[in-house]
Amino acid sequence: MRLMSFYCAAKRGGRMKNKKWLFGLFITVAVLQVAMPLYMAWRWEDVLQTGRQFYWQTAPVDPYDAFKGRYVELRFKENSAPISDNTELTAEQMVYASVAENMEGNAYISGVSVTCPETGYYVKAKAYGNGRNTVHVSLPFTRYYLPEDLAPAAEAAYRESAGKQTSVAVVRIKDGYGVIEQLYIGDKTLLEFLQQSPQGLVGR
Amino acid sequence: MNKKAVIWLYQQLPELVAKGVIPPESADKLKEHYGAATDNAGTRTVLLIFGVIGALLIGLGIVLILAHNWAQLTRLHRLMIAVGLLVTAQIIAGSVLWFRQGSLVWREAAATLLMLMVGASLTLVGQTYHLVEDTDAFLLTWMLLSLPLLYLMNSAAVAVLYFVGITVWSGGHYGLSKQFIWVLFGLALPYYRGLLVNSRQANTTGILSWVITICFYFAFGTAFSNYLDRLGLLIYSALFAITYLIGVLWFNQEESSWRMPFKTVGLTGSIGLTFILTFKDVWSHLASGWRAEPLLAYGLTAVLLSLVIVGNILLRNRSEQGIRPFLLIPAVISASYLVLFYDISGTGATIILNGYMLWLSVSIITNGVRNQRIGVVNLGMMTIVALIVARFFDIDVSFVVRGIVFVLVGLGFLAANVVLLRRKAGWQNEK
Repeated sequence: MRLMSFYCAAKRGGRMKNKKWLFGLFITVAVLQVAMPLYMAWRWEDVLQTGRQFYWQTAPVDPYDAFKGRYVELRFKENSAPISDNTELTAEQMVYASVAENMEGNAYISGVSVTCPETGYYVKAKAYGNGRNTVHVSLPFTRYYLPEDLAPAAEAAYRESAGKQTSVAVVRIKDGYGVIEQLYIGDKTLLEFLQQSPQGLVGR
Repeated sequence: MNKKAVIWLYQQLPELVAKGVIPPESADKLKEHYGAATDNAGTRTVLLIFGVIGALLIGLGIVLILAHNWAQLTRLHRLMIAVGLLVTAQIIAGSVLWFRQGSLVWREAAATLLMLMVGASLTLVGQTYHLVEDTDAFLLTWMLLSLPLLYLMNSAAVAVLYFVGITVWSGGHYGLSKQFIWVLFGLALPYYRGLLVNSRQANTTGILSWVITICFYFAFGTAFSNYLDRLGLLIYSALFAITYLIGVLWFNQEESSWRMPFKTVGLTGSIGLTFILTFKDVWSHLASGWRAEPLLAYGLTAVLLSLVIVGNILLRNRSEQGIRPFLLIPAVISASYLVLFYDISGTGATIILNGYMLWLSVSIITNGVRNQRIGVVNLGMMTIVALIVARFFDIDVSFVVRGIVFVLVGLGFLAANVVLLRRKAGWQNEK
C-alpha cells in the first residue's frame, strides 16, 4: 500500500522526492533481479570448477521442453540405496544420498540419510520408498541440454549405443550439489560421437 | 473514471459556475483533473493492447531463440547474454519510470518485457548448467522477483502474469507448502485494491478481476484438495454464493455485468453446481464411501457458511429480490447433506435438489417477467430445460411423453418471448 501511495503521489504532484524514492526502489529491485541469475551461475560454476568428478552409467529417454529447449533426459542405473538411519521417509522427502565409487570407477549411491553426512560426497535429492529396505533416489541432474538441431541426433545415437556401448555422465559434486560436466558414449564425448557418426549429423 | 460520468459532469459545470455553486477556477481544475471527456480512449486501449502484446511477443521470441541453445556459446557468453538482456530490459523500464511515467502504454509494455526477461535470464542459467530444478522453484523465484514491478511500474499486465504464474505454481505442491499460495496471493492484493479505488472503471481493472477470480478458484481447488473429498460440493456452493455476494454488495453499480466477474462467476457456478447435484448418482456416491473427514474440512465449511450468512445480513436492507434464491443454495445443500445421513440411498437429497432447481428456474423466470428482461427469462427457461433433459435421460420414460413435454416447453419459450417483446414495445410506446 505504501508503494501505491508513493506512486499516486508521484503521479499527482510529480514531486521530485517521491519520484526519486520510487526510482531508488526500482534500482534495488533491479539489482536483486540481476543478482539472482548471477548467484545461480556462481554456485553451479563453483561446483563445476572445484567439485569432485564421478562417472555415472546412464540410459536416455526423450522429452521436449518448450521453455528450456531440447535436452537429453538421463536415467541412472544406480539410483537406489539402503537407508542409513532408521527413519520413516515420506514421499518426495529431501534426503542426502552419499555417493561412492565401485571397483570399476563408476559412481553409485552408497546410502541415504535425512541428516547431512559428515564425510564423503553426497547430493541432495528427493527420495521415494519402494516398499523394500532400499529407497529410490531421484537424482537432481537428469537433463543434458543440447543445441536444438543436435538433440534428436544425439538421442538416436544414444539410444543405438545403449545396448552396445556404455553411456556415462561425468558429474561434478560438491556440497550436496551436482552438475553434469560431460556425456560420453563409449570413450568419446557426445559431440565427438555425433561428428564421427556415419550420417554426419553435425555437419548438416 | 467512468467516462459517462465525466461527460455528465462537464455538462453540469457551466451551469454550476453560472449559479455560483463553484468558482470558475474549480471548474478548470476539475477539467484538468479528469482530462478531456471525449478523449480517444479507444485508440489508447488499442495502443495499450498492442504495446503489451508486442512486449510479450518480443520477450517470448527471445526466450525461444535462447532455447535453441547455441553450441558456439561458452558458459561465460551465455551468462553475459542472460544478464545483458535483463539489464537492457531494466534500463528500458527505468527510463520509462523516470521520463514517461505518465504513459500507461510505455509502463505496461516495459514492465511486461522486464518480467519476461527476468524469467529468460533464469532459464538461460538453468540451461547452461543443465539444471533440473523443479518448475516450481523456477516459477516461484521468477514471480517473487517480478512482484515488485507490479507496484513500482503500476502494471496490470505484470499483475495478470503474476496471478497466472502463482496459480500454476500452486498446482505442483503437496502438504502444507500448498497453503503458501495465499501469501503469494496476498502480496499482490494491495495492488488490486489500489486499482479498485483509483481506476475502477478501467478495462485493465475488469480484466484483472476476471483473472484473479478464476485463478482463485484454481488455487482454492489445489490448496484444499485434501478437504474437498466429501464436503467439496457444499464448500464450493458456499464459495460461489460468497462470490455472488461480493458482486452484489460491492460491484453492483457496474454498467455491464461482464465488466466484473463476481456476479457472473457466482451465478454460473451456483446454477451449474445445483444442476450437477440433481443427479442421484452424485448423492449415492457421496453416501457410499462416507468416512470421517479431517477436522479442518468441517472448519473450512463452517467458516465459508458463516461468511455466506454474514453476507446475507449485510444484504438484508437491499431491495434486490431476484437474488435471494441463489443465496439459498448453500442452505439447501446443507439440508440435503443432513437428509443423506438418514436416507443413504440419496433419494431424499435428490428430490430436494430437483425441487429446488425447479423453484429456482421459476423464480428466475418470474423475476425476468417482472423486470421485463428477456435475457433473464431465457436464462430461467434454459435452467428448466436443462433440468428436464437431464431427468428425461435419467428416468425411463416413453419417447412420446418426452416428445410432448419438449414440445410444450418449446411453445412456452416462444410464447414467453413473444409476450415479453410485445409488452416491452408497448411499454416503450407509452413512454
